[in-house]
Amino acid sequence: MGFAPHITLGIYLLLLLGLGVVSMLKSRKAAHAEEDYYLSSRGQGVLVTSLTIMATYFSGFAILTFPGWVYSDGIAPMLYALNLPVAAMAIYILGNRIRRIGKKRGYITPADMIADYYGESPWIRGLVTLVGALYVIPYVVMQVKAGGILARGLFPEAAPIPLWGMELTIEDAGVGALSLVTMLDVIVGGMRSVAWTDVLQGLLLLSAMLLSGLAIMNALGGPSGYFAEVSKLDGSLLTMPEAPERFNVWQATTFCLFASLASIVQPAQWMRFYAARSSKTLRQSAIAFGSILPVCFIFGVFLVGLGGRALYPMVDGVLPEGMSKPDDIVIKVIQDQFPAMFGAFGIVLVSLILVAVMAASMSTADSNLHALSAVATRDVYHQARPRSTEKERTWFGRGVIVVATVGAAAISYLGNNSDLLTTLTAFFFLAMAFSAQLLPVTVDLLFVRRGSKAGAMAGMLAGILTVCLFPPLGTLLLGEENVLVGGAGTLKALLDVGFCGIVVNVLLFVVVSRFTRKPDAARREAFRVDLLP
Amino acid sequence: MSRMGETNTGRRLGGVLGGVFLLALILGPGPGAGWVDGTAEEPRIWFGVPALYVWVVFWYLVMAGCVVAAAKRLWRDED
Repeated sequence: MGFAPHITLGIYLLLLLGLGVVSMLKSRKAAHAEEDYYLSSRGQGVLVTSLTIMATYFSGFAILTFPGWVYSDGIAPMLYALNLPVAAMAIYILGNRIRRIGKKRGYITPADMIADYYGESPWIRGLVTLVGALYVIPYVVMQVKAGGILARGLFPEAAPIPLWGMELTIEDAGVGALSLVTMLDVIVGGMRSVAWTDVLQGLLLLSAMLLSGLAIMNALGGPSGYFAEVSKLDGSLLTMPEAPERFNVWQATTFCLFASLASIVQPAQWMRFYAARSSKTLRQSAIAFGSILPVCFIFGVFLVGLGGRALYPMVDGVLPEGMSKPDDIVIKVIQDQFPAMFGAFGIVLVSLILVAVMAASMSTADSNLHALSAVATRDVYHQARPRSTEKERTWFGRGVIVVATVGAAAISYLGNNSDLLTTLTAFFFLAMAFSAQLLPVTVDLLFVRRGSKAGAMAGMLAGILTVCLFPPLGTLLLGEENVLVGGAGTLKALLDVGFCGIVVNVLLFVVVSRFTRKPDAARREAFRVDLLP
Repeated sequence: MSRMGETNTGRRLGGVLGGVFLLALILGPGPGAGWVDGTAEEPRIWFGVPALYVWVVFWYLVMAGCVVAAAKRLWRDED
């Protein structure tokens, strides 16, 4: 591909840094440094809000792994796309209430709201912070690592790069570059820069998803040729597997309901609701999210996975040349088909799309880094130093971003075999299940208001501990032979892990709330009033 | 229409949309998918397209339709 990838990547990274600088200049006029850094002064419009929510929602994992699942397991994983309209509904139904009360009461993190309602204490704030951290930290590390893997796809024949007596592989260099740019972007411009970057990354990515769908259709002779070819695939790829095979209907249903909601209440998305300008912003964002994103999956990359199986079949379970795992199918299709389809322009397009896929990792990494900084600053540092100034806290938040980025890059550099990376990977696979444990308290304080602080804490703790029993984390913590881990493994084959945690969480929440003191009537009434338009 | 009449219509529409959305959520990825797909030996093909793919597209359109209808008819701008 010559120098096309270098030039495309260079221009793209410069654009991101430019966006960071412009947003920093805009931030100087802000009256409240902290609110501006973390929430863009609560002024984000429809385009920015919808695209930043989308870009945060799907990561590099979603763009590569979902089509990879379709390639290896057929149409059944496509049913998981039906989680997206559920998330769209939640953007307005949960998000608008979160925005409304957040604006009235000046909240910045999820814990600000939850601790304010149930009664401020380090324990409840700490638990909410823990749930957030269990989602955010593994995501940052895994996305930074994914950036390195994508760099290998972008520059497959690149020689190792000598640096201070070491030889860096292209994957290490990719991790370094991705970390550095993401870190600078978040430090310099805060939420505004992250969101503007997400607009650019989101547009690139959505176009890439649709274009790759067109490419596979074209390669198989248009829509009729495409479906004629995929209809000839093995019947097991065109039908639903029976439980306990993966992607069975029970797993799909519980995933669509609970994983979507879990992703919507994770700290980075929660803060995007606070940052939205108005209810109209979230109403229109819900429409955009529910109509654009699923189309890009169902008529874009999912078709690549299924058509890829017809175009590049596995022989005796062995992947075709140029693919080391099913997740490589999107990259293989665009690398093979785009130059044939678009000629010289196709080569530029390949670079652009590979950069876009890298952008998916970056957009998730920067959103989560930013959320991590907010959580560490508001929920930990500010609690320890209540008299700290806004400016001091903002600088502390920037420090957190540096430490977290360097840490993530170091863990990634240590390689696949390090224990820490293995543990973080185990947490990553359960990240959404941990985040789902915020759902019962969120629903209680937004709609029901019958729970108590003790109930909320007992529920969250029980939910987290339940999720910890599931493989791969349970296996890592308690060993394969443990009876509880064995039972959880059986359950995991049938149901979404987050759902299992929520069942235990809700049970404890309801029972403990029944026998403990609820927030007083005046506070509940004040919350009810503040939640009204 | 009076304000009370509007509220009643809104509630009715909300109930209908909520019911259809829930049905789509249960039938779409849930047991319904297992009824239409045929068997591994003889997968069902509708109009030249695997039935399971048609199923995904259909229920997506139903769910997205509910989101758009709710956003246009039920959710009010308040600021």
